[in-house]
Formats: sequence, C-alpha cells, structure tokens
Amino acid sequence: MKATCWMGRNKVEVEDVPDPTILNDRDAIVRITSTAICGSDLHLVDGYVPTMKRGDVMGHEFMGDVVEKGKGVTNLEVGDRVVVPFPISCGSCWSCRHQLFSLCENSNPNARLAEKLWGFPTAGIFGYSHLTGGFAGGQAEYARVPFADVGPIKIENGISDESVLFLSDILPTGYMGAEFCDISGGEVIAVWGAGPVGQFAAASAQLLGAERVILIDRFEYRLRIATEHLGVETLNYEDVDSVPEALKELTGGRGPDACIDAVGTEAHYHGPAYAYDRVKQALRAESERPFALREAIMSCRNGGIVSVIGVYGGLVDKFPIGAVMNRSLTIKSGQCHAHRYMRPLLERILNGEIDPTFIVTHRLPLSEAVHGYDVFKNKKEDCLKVVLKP
Amino acid sequence: MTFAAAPGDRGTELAVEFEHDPPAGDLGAAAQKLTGRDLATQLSDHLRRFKQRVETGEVVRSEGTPDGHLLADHLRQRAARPLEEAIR
Repeated sequence: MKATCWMGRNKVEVEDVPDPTILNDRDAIVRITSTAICGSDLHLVDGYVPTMKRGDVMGHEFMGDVVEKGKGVTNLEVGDRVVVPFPISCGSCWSCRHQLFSLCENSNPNARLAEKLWGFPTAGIFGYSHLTGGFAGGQAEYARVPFADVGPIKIENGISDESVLFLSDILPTGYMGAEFCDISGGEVIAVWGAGPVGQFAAASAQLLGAERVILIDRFEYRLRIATEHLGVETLNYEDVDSVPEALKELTGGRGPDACIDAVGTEAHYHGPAYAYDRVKQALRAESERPFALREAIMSCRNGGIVSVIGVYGGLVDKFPIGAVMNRSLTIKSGQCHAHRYMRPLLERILNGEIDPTFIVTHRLPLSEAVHGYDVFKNKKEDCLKVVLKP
Repeated sequence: MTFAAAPGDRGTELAVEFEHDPPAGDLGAAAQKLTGRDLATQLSDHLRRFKQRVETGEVVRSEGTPDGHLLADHLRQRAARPLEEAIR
C-alpha cells in the first residue's frame, strides 16, 4: 500500500510499504477513506520530537471502513464506518477507567523510553514517534488499529467524512482546552494560535458559554477565517508591542479569565526573545520555544486558568513560575483524552451545534502528501488544514 | 513475591524482592545494566507484560516493537511501518 513516511528531518515521502495485518486479537484493520495532516506532525517533520526512525508511517487523524478484525473485537463488524481516536487505549487500566485515555498504562510497548524522559510513560499514539509506542500511522491506505473494541466510534449515517474526521484529534483537543477553562458563562477567553486546534478551542469556548473569545495569531488569513466562521475577536500580535498589555487594554485592565495555549513548542515571535530561544533551541540547550506559554501566563487574570493544549516535548527556559505562584494561577494540560469527547461531540455535530468543516482549505490525494506538508508547514496558499484522500 | 490491595480502587500492588549475584561482580552488573539485561530490568519488563496480560488479555505489539515491551529492544527498534511477512 501507499503510506506517508518520515524519511528524516524535513523529509517526508509517499512510499510503498507492506499492508498491515492483525498482530493482537483486539486489532482491526481499517481501509482509510480520509486522513489529515496535524500541526503536531510538523513537530515530527521539523525534528523536535526525539525517537523518530527513518521509514516511520505518519498520521494520527484518520477514518475509514473496517475490513478485518481480530477475534477479540466483538463490537465492530467488517464494513463498519469508523473514526479512530489518536491515542491507543486499552479501556481497562486505572487511567482508562478514570477517562484519562491518553495516559493508558498498557498501550505503549516503549513505556520505559517515555518514562525516562517524562517520569511516567504515556499511551501509545498512531504515527507519533517511538516514544509513544512505535505504531504505524494513518496517512496511508490502510491502518492497523489496536484495541479496536475501545477507541473507534461508529458513524452510522451518511454524514460526510469531513464533518466527522476531526473527532479523531483536533476537535476533542480544542474542546478539552476550552473545558479546562471552567467556563460557566460570561468569561473572557484568550486563545494563542489560530491553527485548526486554536479555531476549535475558540469555537468550543463559545459553545460552553464564554462571552468574549479573543484569538491571537500573526497570519491575517487565519484570523479572517475565525472572524467569518466563528465571529470571535482577533488580535494580530505583530500589530502590538506587547500581547499582555494589549489584552489588558481589551479587558478593562483585568486580563482574560482563562488563556489557552494552542501553539506549543515552535512558537514564533518578533523581537530579541525569539532570538534567545531560537538560538538555545538550535544548540539543544533548551528543547522548546515557549513564547505563547509565557505570554498566556503573563496575560491571565489573577486566579485564572492557563490551559496548555499546544504540544511540548521537553524543557523550557525562563518559565515565569513567580507569576503562576503569586497570582494563584492554575495550569491544566494534557494530550487529549479523545475517547471521552468523541460521542458527545458527534452529537453536537449531528445537532448542527458545530460544523468542523470550515477549517479545511486543502483536499489532496494521498499521493500529493508531500505538497500538503509543504503548504501547511510554510503557510502557503492560505493553508489551514489539509485532508488527504487515499 | 507479595500481593497487596492498593488504596481505594487502585487494584493490586505486586512486589518482587530478589537477591542476585551477577557474574563478574560490579563490573558485570554494570555491563548488564547498560544493555538492559540485568535482572531488575528483566523483572520490570516481565511485570509490565504481566500487567498487560492481566488487564488487556494480551501483550501489546507495535510495528516498531513487534515483540512487546522489552527494554533491551528499545534502542534497536524497527521503523514504525507494517511488518514484512517473514517477521510477523
């Protein structure tokens, strides 16, 4: 079959690889009908996530039809149409029983690698380095889905692929970021990053009852999409001297009630702070460029919540812990426990409360995945989200 | 080997105590530890696999680690792509 493979830093190729087969009784094989490139795939391509190997199949946002299943899978039938969540979760360990699906204790066969880096291991994830298990990903014609009796959600009507594909990752991720903000009605929420996850975080904050949502980015076309489709306020950080000061101005001097970092480790910024972190990152003295996170912390009102859904991998420098401690801030974070949100969000899509298709700017055949990575990474052709069709 | 009920609903704690005289003394122990072949590492691999079997019914395999969790294999993984027929 054809599959999008990581062939080294800044090198992705569509290659011929063997078809997947059942390795565990609770596996299913899915023939993929739609798959997408995620912002976090760019961290892999850019070389910021360790333990990638040449030839790894990429992709963790995919859906399709079940074509084969192991004898342990009793809730799915061959022919079922499913969306697959990006974390691989057994459903029976303590973490899974407590709905912490991205922290499954059993699904990562390289648990000790993750344990060395982060203290405790996390769940397996499709196509997302060997730190998260070394599982082949879903930017391919077929994928093997472990614990297929736990993760995949059946889509039983004729709704389009694009309407439900993002249940695999970015819609639940954005929603969880907004849910972290403890919105009870009337809040002001600021979101860093108008990429797909930031757009969905903003949409979710509205859905949960925030009165004002302010989305921050430097790409006008991304801010325009948010204005047109969500009606949120926007702030182009290149137009202001200081984002925390600008947010103070916008909120009567109080600051947003909660701040969502939907940027993560490869943030950009203008000014000397960017050079400081970029140089340290290039020298491997610091693994992240945490401007968005620092700004989110410095901008948040006293006693507010900082919600971190942008991806980080290692260590940050100049972390304003003094602001966190003295101003009673709460930081909430995590890889999305996607399984928890798929069914309720599917209901919201079917009810018409949210239509995730507005982020799709590029629809390409799988064979053009390399072009897809190029336009997405380099923000060419006003790209916001690439969907690939095998 | 002891089994004890964990607090709350946290399941069962399994503890293994062992004594071990590695060949070639401290030097041998260091060499084994470096390659992930020391007894403590092997026991921890076995415990992890045992937990997987008890909780999920199987030892989880990935394309990069087709034999399941073994620390000694962590540094010589296959690429995460479907396996060739010969090594399935």
